[in-house]
Amino acid sequence: MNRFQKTDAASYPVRFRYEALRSLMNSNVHALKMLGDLGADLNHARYFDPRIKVPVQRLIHESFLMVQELNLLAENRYDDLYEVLSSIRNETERIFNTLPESPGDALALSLDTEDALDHRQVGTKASMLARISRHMPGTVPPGFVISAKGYRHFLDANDLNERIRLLIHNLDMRKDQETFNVRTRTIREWVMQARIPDEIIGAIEASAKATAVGDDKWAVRASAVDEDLSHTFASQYESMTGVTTQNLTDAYRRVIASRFSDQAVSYRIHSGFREVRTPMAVLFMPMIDMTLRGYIQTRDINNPQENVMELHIKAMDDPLKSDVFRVMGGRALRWIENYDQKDTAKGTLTQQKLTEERLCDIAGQGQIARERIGDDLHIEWALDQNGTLKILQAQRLELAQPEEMKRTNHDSRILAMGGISIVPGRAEGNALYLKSPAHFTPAHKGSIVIVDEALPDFGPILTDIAALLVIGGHPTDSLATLARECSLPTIFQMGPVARRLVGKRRISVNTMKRTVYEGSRWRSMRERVFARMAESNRVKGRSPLYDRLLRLNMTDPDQPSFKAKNCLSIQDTVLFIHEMSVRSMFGFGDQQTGLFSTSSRLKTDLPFKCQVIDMDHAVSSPKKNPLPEDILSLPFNALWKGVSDKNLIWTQHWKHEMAGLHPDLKEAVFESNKGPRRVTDMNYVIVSKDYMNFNARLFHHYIMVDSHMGPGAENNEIHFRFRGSGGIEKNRSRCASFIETVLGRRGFSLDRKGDIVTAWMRCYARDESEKVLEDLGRLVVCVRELDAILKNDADISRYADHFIKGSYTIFA
Amino acid sequence: MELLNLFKRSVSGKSGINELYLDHLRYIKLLENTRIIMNLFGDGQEKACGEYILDVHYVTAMVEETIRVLGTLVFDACVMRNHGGDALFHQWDDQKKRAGKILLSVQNGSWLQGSSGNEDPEYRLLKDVLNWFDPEKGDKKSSVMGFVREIFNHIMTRTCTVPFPFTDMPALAIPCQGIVHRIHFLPVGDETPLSGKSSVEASDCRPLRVMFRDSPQNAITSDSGLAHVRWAAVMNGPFMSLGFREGNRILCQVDICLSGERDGDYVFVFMHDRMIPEPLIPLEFSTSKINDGILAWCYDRPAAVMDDTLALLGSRLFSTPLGLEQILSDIRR
Amino acid sequence: MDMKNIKIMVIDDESIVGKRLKPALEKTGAQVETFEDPESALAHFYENPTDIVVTDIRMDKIDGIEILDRVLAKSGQTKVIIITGYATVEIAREALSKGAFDFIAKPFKPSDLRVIIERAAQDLTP
Repeated sequence: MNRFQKTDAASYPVRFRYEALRSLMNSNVHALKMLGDLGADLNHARYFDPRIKVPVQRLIHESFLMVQELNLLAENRYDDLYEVLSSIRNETERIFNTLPESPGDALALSLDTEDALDHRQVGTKASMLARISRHMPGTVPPGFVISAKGYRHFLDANDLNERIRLLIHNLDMRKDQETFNVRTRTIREWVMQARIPDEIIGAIEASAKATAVGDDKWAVRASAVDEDLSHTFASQYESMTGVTTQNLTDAYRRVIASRFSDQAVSYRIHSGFREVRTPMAVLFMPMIDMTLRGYIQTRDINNPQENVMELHIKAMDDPLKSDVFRVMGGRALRWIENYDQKDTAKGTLTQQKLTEERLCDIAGQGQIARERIGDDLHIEWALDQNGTLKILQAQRLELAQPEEMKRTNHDSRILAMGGISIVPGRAEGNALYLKSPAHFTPAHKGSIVIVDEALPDFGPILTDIAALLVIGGHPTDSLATLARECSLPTIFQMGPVARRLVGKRRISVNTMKRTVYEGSRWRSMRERVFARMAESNRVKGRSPLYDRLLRLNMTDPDQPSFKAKNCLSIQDTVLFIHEMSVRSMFGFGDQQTGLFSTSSRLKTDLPFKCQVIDMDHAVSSPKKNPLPEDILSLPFNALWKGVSDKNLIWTQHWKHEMAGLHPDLKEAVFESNKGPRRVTDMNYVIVSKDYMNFNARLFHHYIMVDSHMGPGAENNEIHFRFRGSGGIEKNRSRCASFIETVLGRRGFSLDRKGDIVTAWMRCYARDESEKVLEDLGRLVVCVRELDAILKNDADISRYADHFIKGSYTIFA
Repeated sequence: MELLNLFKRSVSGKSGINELYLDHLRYIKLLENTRIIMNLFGDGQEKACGEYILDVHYVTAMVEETIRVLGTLVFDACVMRNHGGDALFHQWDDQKKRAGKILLSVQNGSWLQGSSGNEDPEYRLLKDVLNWFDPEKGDKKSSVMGFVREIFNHIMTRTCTVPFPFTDMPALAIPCQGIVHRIHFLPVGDETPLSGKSSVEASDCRPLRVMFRDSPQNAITSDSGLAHVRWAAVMNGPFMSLGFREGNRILCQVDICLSGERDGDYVFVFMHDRMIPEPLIPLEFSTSKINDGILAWCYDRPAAVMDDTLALLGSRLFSTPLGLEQILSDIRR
Repeated sequence: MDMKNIKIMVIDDESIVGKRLKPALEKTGAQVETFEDPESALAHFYENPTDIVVTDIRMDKIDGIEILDRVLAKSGQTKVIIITGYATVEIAREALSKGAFDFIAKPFKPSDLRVIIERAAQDLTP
């Protein structure tokens, strides 16, 4: 028999091609999952860890095989991909073969040792103190650190790594606070119940004995490691004071547990910190019997160009009360003024205890520290019983430089003035009053947020807002430090006047001038705000593998640059392969229709053209135009039940909008001639009794549904792919967001890249799979012209709610 | 015709290297999937001893997973050797029908009937499935294991369409008991394990070093007059594939993974009957006869045992090459 | 706590589980009750809370996670061990984060579960 004649069942080349496509669909999902897992793994493990190396090699192998399959389907048109993958393979091998210099492996280190200068071992806090002690002997009290290695050892000994990783995966306080709180609490409980290894206990006891001076009271503080040294994690972790020697071990455990406070975990997640790069060391220092204490900022943050320091003296009985002095730096220190005029002209707290000369001495120590360290500093100090200055903590001071901006609106009304500038800068956005960070949603991104108090709980949202206005607060609050780290324009102590801004749509703020204006005041400010937010949200300290594995460089398949040779990473390659394999499905369908006539046109009253390709007698009685009910394919029947739901309305928005226009003009206006298929081209469904691949262009969009359904659950799978094409970008994006929302709620695993949404669901029982396919059928119809209906981002949720409830009239 | 082009593969130069590398990767995947099937069977046998608490889902999952993996094996075999692949697809369809009957019995509840008093129906169902895998009596050919043998038959005994691209593959010459084994290695990556190396011991390829560990290598001043055997090797981290062909027919292929991870390591061998394989395969290997040769495998052993077994195989293959001598004398004639 | 004073409840809608686990766990000295219907099991638990509850995760009427929630709400001391035939990361995550003591995947030997139960018993305060 001539195998190219129409046969009762698929001939071998046809069968092989169909199996190749199925293999590619499955491999694509598998690759996406591996990429997702790798992204998570790189958060918790070093790149040279075998837990990373083996999956990376496997992923590269699988990618090669996917390319081979694609080339088998596409007649070797994508040979370039072999070179791309070879280059990625070679580079990853080079990266694996280059081990970084590893830090030392001591569990405990004294602050006066050489290794204590290494922030990777002792954390930024302790290493800064070690540096100051080195340059200014006698100013830093003795102390010791249980190192980052100790932390890792603690986790390993209690099998906590995997369990913590399991719970932290995909956590987002903003999306689901209850789950977030439950999981972080569980982690803290695990830590509190964990056994401290004997080596660590021994190290603490021995070091305490060697370090102890005077009273049996210790301060135990977290000294977090940030390998990039760009963040302080200010007030994110617990500090304990007045701890007796007997309780040091317990205090160690508590400080470790504080690493998993709601606030700390949220901060790390939303600031893009990888867990593996931010282990925790713990600093132990005997407490000073102090007569006076305070802090120094070696630069006035509001006027960084002037050489002026701020010296704060705190009341011993009330740390919120302080005198603030400004001291001119340079060769001779000169006291300028008492900054805070509220209490007295010269400060009653200090008047009896310190002369001006002594004030300048203290500030002078700050100046020396600044010169020796080479950075502006925030220094906490105390005077002991002998009047000697002791430096207790020090961290780099973030100074933001305001940009020069051209003013566009000279008439913008001033809405509010006042407060203290914490971070100078300008911003523009909608005013949003928040009682709690839990009320912040993704829709609020880019707002100017107004809050009552400077609670550190607001830390996680700082990278997503344009500016922060605090009605109360104090410049020494940790939220101020966090705002500086994000370079977020911020005003504290604005007072009740800030409440006038609530409800205002668009406002502009100049935090240096402590003024809020109505409307937009500066050109391009909005774009600058979003650029700053994007920069703040950039994941810190990417693994060297990231660029070659995970970075997505190509997102738009309709761009001329979407070519095999432009793939730079595995992520690009997987996306490219998937797109090309979907296109080859269309080619396959065209072949069956044109060349081999092994397909037939589906007969339906719905405004939808589709050819059916029958793989194994799924069409009950072969005919030229089978009806949907003639097709004995489980997944197809389920999908079609949804597509033909009588409650759906097949909208004709664009047809009405463009009525009377020449077809070429219509296509050009809506760019619907973009992409591999025209609107008028045929759509296809490949069917067998337990399988279906539905591939269609529906107006602007490409939709693919691929499903296998057997009697058992194990091999039941549904793959869905949506790709927007043509039309307005914002509208396409909303469509994709709508699909993502609906499918996410329906229980699909999701991957979204730009306008491409890939979703999959596996191992559900047959009846559940059928229901899901019915829903997908309805989704296919509702999404057809959705970009004509969704006018703004707030509509996405609303439409998704209607769809989930089964109410479809809104899509008309 | 377009569809004929579907199976067209390039044969020269860089593409030849690509093809060999891709075959190697695809075969690794095939071996890993075969191992899955064998582990499913082994696990099922262990559970069937009666001590376990298991549910019917365990059994149905085993059936479905088997069908899925068989499908992957068939597809991979057809990619590697496309001619005659339709027969494999038909056989897979037959296996699906048999599996379908088992799953249907679970769906309609008939699996619960017919159990004897003390035997739980889950165990009886499991035994039926194990019988489908590899019956003690009766038709073994239509069993799962029989089908897996058939798949290997397809790969190993069919003509390879792409010859080894020896001219593009640098070689290391290893003289052993009067035969010079020229190991031509595929240049994968910037640094290949044999680049610039003068001996096996110096190479970065652990599987090769272990294979030659117990094979005494002779120092030779001249290799004229000695028989030469050309092997093609793909060395890829812990993986190595070492193959010897006569024309385009595979005579011997050894595939190894020595990562040090017990649950990942294996040695898998095919030897054509012309190699007279029986005395060459150590006892530590499990074996199975296929059309024109023997399959042999060794896995799930501690790392030291894997090394010893591989070294023994290597010493027999390179130091007492019974079959090779016959083949080589045929070549010389 | 001594195993002889331990009360264990086993909930699984598949009869093979209760049938095999009861004698196996009674060997430890514990008192064991088995239920195939989760609703009856819960009703019984409310009347007579047990020290340890071993429950399957997927049952028709009430699933294991709901049983976990309701048992812990009634008696925070009770240790809940989840049996799953679908060992997935998500289930492990959810069970652990909601306070399950541990979980075990089918198929398992009764002796494997005994080890977990003995650990749970040690954690119980008398």
